Amino acid sequence: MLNPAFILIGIEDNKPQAIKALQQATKAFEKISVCVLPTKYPTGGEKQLIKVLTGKEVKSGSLPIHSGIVVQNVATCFAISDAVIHDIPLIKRVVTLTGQALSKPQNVWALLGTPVSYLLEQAGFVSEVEPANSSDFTSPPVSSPPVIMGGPLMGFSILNESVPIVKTSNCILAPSKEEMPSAFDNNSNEVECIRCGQCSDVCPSQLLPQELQWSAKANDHQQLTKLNLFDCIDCGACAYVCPSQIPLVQYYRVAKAEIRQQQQLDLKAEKAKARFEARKLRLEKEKIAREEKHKKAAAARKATMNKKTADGSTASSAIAAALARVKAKKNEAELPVASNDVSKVEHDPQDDKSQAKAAIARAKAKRLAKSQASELVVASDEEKTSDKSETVPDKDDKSQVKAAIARAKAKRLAKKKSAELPVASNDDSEVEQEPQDDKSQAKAAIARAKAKANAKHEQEKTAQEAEANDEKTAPKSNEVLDKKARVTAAVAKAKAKAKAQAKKEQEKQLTSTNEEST
Amino acid sequence: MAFWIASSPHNHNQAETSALMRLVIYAVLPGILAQWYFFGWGNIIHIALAITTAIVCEFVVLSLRSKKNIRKQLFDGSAILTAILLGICLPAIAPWWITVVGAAFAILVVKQLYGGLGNNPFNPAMAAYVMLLISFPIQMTLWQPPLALMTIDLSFSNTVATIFTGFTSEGYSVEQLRTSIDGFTMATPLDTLKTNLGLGLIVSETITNNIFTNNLSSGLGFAFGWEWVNIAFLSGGLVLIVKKAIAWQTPFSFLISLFICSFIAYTISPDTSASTLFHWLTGGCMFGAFFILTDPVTGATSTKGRLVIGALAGLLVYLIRTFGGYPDGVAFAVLLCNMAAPLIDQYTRPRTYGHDVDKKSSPISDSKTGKQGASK
Repeated sequence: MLNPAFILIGIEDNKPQAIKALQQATKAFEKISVCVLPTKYPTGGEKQLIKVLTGKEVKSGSLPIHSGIVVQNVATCFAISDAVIHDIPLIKRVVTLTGQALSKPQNVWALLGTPVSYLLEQAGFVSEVEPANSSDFTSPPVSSPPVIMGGPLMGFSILNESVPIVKTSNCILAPSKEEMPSAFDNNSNEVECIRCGQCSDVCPSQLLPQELQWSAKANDHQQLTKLNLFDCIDCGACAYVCPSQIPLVQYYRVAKAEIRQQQQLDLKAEKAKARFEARKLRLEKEKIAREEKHKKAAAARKATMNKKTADGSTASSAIAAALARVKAKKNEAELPVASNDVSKVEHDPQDDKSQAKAAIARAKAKRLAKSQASELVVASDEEKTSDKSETVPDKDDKSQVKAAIARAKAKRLAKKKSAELPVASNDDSEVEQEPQDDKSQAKAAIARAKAKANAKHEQEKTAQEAEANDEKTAPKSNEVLDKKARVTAAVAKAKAKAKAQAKKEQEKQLTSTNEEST
Repeated sequence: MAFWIASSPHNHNQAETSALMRLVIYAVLPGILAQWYFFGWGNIIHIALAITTAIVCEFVVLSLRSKKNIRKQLFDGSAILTAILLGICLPAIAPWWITVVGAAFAILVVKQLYGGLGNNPFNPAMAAYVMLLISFPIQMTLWQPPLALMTIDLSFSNTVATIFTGFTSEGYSVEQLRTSIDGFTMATPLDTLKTNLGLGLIVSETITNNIFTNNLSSGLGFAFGWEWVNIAFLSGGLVLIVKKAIAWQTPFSFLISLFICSFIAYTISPDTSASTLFHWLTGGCMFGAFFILTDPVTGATSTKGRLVIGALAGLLVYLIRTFGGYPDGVAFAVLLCNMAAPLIDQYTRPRTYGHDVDKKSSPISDSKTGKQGASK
């Protein structure tokens, strides 16, 4: 299948029988050659093996396959042949049970998933520290000598005997204290590094373990990367020879983990930043688009206003507005009496302690208008009908101007309301209260802002559209004569927008923090 | 049943720093014995004094730094080794306070002020020696002739009395002790050579001096006593190399470098240059090569770096011996090399596996990856 150019079989020179057998077996194949290697740890490492067999080095950060080399160990080859030729899946493997704490060390075929305790029992595990029957977990954790899965230099000590055999468990090592005293010694005998350099002499990756160690202790990640910490293969040779008994590999593992974590965090931060930038850009664009719309709307308003002033129906000055407000206030006294309308009842719960004076005036004017124009205002936006209806109650002593202004306000508000309603109804949470709540314009604006903030992007857009519609309809309806009203409305809108912006900002931060925390 | 948990590797070759130090101490013994044989008890007394001072100082500092396990650190051998190395360098009949000051300086200032074992940039023994040599030049040049050439019998008690009072028990002064049979005040062979060369004598004339000629090495041009001391140190050093306690690169390149330098000079001008073997076997050459330069803490760590530092030290020793103001330059050369060591280490980092793979193999991997990329 692979059709490789050469097959090299590397065997350490302390296994003469295996060498002989393989040489016999491969005599017929000229592609396959058996290479006898010196017994030197860690020749079994993939990259080290390639170096010894072919003289080539695998580039750092690349895989052997990139150099056209595939390395398989015996167990893998066997499993492949089992799977391909005999159709046997990988359900068992050879496990070496050894160590002086075992009375019958042996190699066994173990099914994957076999608990270690069973194998230890088979091999006659003799616990030195305590009798082996101390199976209660309440006793201090150190109740038994170490049992190591894997080799003495790279294996890991297992937590308890119920650990199963897995595909990579090549060896179960139960050493005696004489055999491997340092495995029993939990107290670190570490002393200062004396730079003897024995570690760098034995390092298969030709690293400088002593310098790595200093940088690791100093948390100097930059220097560690520069010293190629990630080319360390965790073989443990340096820690094995270290006369100062420094647990070098442990330091490297911690440092590697820290660097990896840092890299991930950096990556995350980078992504979050990109997201943030994109969002900022988008918001900026939207803002510009909005401003453009506002400008257009303002221009349109201006045009219509100019037309109106040309008509000379009302004074558009602030004085007139103030006058209107004052008169509306005067009217207030008569209002409760005059109002016996359904629509008025609806709007009545409004509290009279609204904050802004302008808002009060507007509200009052509206109420007045309501009382006068009753259903007509609510039912339709048509100015003519409202005009008609207004002329009837306008027989009171109110002046024509006042009435017109009040009407205008009422109309405008009514429009606003109708525009708001769909937006608010899009919202899930505050639908019920807001439209009914006939508070001042500022309040309504806040509510709108809230609704906007809560709404998602699409909703946001509809809100903006609604707003735009609102703005368009406002100038269309000829009642927008009151400059003051317009100004306050604009202010309220601006505030609402600012609030919405702030809300969005907050939300963004929230989401970004959420992302970070996840 | 819960098992003992530990981080891999689970095995250790059971080497210990203290064992390493002990081995070096054993290896230095032949040299000390040779010194004792040719120069009497002086150095052994100095060594004892130095060890006592060093241990006291070390204990004080470790207590002040409130270190744990003081006892273990105190007897890890490093302080003792420093004291021994210092004691070996001192003139045998130097006054006692020279040793005390030197050992205290070595431990307190050179070693512990920099952070203790493993952190000192300079070799403590050599730094202390240089300090003493500069501060107390008279006491530090109280070299006596070898015992065989001495007029006064220098027994153990006499030596003790001289070191502590300045006079032997018979009342001879240090100056009288230093006078050899023929009435000349003695100096080290290197010193004599330098002085005589300065006086216009040539080497062949100089080595007729009593200090060079004796029944053991007459005609060979060696300095009596010194060559055997050096050979003893050489043998001890070789043991260390065989035991892999020290790296062979440093002494090897040091001796080769010194050999080449002196050989060139000797070839050009044999009358004013000492022979290569003379350079090898006088002064602190072998001692420095095997016991001082190989100090791992202050030396280079990479193989290349060790070669470089050895060669540099050899060159410096030769230059100081020939052109410098002091007769022997091992101590100065060592300190200079100590200073250069971090830099040398920086530039002699070995190539990490898989990095900067030479052109021979990289095209293969490149073409392969390229092919893969193309096939994709």
